[in-house]
Amino acid sequence: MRVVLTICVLVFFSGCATKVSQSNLYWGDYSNTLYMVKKEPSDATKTAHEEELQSIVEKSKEMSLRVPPGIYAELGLYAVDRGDQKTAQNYFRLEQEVYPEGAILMQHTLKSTPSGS
Amino acid sequence: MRLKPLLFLGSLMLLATGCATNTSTKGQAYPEMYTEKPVAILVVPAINHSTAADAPILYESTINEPLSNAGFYVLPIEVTDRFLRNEGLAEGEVLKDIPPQKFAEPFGADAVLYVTIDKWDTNYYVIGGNVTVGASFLMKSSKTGATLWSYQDEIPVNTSGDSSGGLLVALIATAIATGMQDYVPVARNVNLMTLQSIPYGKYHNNHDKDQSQRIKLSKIPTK
Repeated sequence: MRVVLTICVLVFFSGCATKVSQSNLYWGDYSNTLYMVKKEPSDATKTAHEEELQSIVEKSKEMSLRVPPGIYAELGLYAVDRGDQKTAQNYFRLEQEVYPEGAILMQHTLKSTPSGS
Repeated sequence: MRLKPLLFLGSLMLLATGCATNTSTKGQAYPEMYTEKPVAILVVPAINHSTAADAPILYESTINEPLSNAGFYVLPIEVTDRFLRNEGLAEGEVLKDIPPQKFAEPFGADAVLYVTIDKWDTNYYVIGGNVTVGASFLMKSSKTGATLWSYQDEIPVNTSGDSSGGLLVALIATAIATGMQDYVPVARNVNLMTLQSIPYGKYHNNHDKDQSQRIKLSKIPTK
């Protein structure tokens, strides 16, 4: 039974790795790891989600796809929470670069994350 | 009998109008989407009228993906949530009374998506179960305040997996990973089904080309 389940899980994750949406976006396990953060906010769930965000960026680049909306911005928030303003600002700029529609919000966000440190 | 053909004609007409109310095209149902062409969408916290306490976070974790896939730029929900919370606007109930135009400037939103979860009923059977989710989606212009798109439906999602292998595998995978039944795939399915009726946004290949696509009509949600 355990073997069958493991195979199922493997099939599921390998399916995931190459799944690209109709709008040409790669999401990985985004919804699941985000839900876990909201359900049980802890270092473990946050780390898992942040790693998933980074993996989405990497895989999207590998496949020459746009990084999906909000991924860079969320990475920026994690950097803000660590006090790493420089990295945060860089991520917010990247979000704005890929999606000019987010410029107003990202400018707002950049203003509320003071540079320095 | 002269009555008979009349009756026949009458029932034919009834049949035809019956059909017409169930399906429509995207262009007929949501013309404002094609004239305004909203791109940046602000997703605000859901209003929960269901008995499932988790329903709003399930919705919030699963809406970015399908809405972006439909071609929209979803304003980063984690960012907008923080701003709303700082303004004391974390509750969907409070947000629904704020005119959508108020969100245009600070967020750069073209439209606001409001969602009410009316029902989240879990049924278990001997060999499986299902979850029936009732939800109303309402997208309003932050330029005019007008409703651009709305959809209300009750969607039964089978969790025993005989209809959708992918869903079953996903449920097993999360059950192994977390040690509990997880409803992320259910919420994802509901968002996906609901968004089938929305005219595609700027980032979708069929943007502005889907006016004649047939869709199943819903009851227009009451505001």
